[in-house]
Amino acid sequence: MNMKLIGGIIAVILVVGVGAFIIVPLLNPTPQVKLSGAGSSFINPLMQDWISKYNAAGVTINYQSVGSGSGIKLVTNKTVNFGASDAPLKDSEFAAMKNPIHIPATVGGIVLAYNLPGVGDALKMNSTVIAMIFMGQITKWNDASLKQLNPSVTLPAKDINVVHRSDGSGTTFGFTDYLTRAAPSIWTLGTGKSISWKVGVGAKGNEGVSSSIKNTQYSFGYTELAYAKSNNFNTVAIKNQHGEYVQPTTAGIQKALDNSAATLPKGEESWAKVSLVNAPGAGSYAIVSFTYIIVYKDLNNLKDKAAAQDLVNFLWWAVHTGQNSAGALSYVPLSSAVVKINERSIGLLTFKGAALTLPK
Amino acid sequence: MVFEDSEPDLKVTSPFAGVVINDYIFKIGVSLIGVGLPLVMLYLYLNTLINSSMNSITTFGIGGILNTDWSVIQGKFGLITFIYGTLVTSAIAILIALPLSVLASVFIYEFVPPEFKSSLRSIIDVLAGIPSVIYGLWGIFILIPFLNSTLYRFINSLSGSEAITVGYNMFTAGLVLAIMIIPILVNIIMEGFDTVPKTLREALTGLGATRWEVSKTVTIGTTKATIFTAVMLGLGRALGETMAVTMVIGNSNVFPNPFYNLFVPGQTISSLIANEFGEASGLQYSILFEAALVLFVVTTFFNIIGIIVLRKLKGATK
Repeated sequence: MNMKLIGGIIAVILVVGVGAFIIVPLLNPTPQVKLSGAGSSFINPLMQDWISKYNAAGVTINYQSVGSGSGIKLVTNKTVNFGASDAPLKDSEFAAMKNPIHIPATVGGIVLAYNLPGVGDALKMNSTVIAMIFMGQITKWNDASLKQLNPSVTLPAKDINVVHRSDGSGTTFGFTDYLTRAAPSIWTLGTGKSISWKVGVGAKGNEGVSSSIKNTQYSFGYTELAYAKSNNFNTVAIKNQHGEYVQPTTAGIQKALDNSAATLPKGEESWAKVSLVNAPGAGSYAIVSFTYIIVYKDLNNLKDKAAAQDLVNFLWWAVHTGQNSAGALSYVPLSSAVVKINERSIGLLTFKGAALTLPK
Repeated sequence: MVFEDSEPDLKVTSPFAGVVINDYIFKIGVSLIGVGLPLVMLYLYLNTLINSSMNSITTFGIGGILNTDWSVIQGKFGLITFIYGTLVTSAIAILIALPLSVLASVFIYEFVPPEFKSSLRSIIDVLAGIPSVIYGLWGIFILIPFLNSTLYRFINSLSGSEAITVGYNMFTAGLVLAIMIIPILVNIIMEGFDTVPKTLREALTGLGATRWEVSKTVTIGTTKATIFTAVMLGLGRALGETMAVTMVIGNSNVFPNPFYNLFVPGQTISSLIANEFGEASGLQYSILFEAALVLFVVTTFFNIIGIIVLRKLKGATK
């Protein structure tokens, strides 16, 4: 080969590479403030929508959907500016961060979806039956207890093909939280992001569970409301504490939120015991859970006060204007009581002890 | 261009001295890259695995992982179910892929007209490069519905029960793996067939041997070592394959009961790591690194066995 040619190619690569380093910053004369966040994949579509709409001058936000657990880890060791988690901080995680603030950013409804040919949106279940199916104690669709709840539906004599999440997930946490609280005598596998299921097949992610339900007749699984809507799944009306059978709808989920709001802690307190599942009161849907944005109370993990102020502005925007995007993406907007709690929590944020201003 | 046109000028420089120094630098450079880099990589790799799994190794010891109880909530982390799943799916893959690949190679070598041969081989090369997630999707949307309406329905009718209902199980995973590794095996086996001396085949054909006899004794007979190498490479791919397996294996952490029932959901080491890592914390985080360490030991074990067998095979054919 020609040595000159090779030398020439290397020289061109060097010039272009070094040149790019010099020119690219020159093209962007105003240094952009970058806020970084990481965590829950459930909130990711909404978060990306927020980021694209929140175009306040010079602020770009980068959110990585790496999972709630990783998000908590990354914000705790100050790699990112904020974390997002489907479960509140556990006591040990709370202690590790010392002074975290929980900001419920959106609400998700977990639905039980089924693929039963010939059976429409009519199925009713209570917590006992749901727990028994996921424990493997009810294995047939025409089980007596299912028939009793659904006298007008013709149920097939087929096995229930249970589908659950195979990856650690906040959706599993919310669902098992419901089973643990609503059917404690039957559900014995505990509450967690990763469960040692006794029955069924595991699929990765909400999209994995959804495609398994879609592709498998007589299947039954839990997934987020948004996925059930986009796949046109039939969903179970679940009996709530009030004794009504409620379908997963935005109204039912908001009702659960309103009916639980009085019991919520303050932003700087531990939220470890907070649960929206099995909410009391009329019209409440039974399996509802928050996704939280988690930040340090003192934002000394940001590079300067201006950046901390930008984060405060973004959080304020997210819990107010940002909630308007929720409906279109099958999320549920926060109720006004929760927004009030968040307003107070965001007001607590400081930068190295100095107070930050609230946008209003 | 410049060098080709000009005459070498021996008087001006002493090419001998230059060659020695160049060669010396070349030797050092190649040894550094060839030996040093893999060693450094291996050190960094093992260092991470061992450091990150120290927490679980000291907590559970060896006995703590050699059982089938897996429950993150209760802090039980037995890895046997996943080691079993890894070995079983890879074994199914090899058992299906090996005969098919050898026969496919013989077909291409013996029966395909020369003008189609090279295009057929490049198609196989393309198949070998398809990302595994595509195989996984194909498994979910084509293979599983197909198996449900054919093989699994047949097995269900034989056993008189509806034991296989969903189609996501260890056998399906093994089948997807087999289809994934067949192009790799065919590719390597064909390379081996190319080295078989034409004269040997012609001699045997001249003696009146059929095509099958020629294939069996000469083509396959003289390339056993290559076929074995292909199997080892395929096995390496199958043992570590993550995405395609995770998509079709059903991801159950329960040990199959009875153990030979392969038509139930299972889990491999790599699918376990892929599933659990995102939300893992504490001991669970550590045990996943230990699982990776176990996978490393398993693959190393098979590679060592492979090297030993390969030496014997090469010795036998000489």
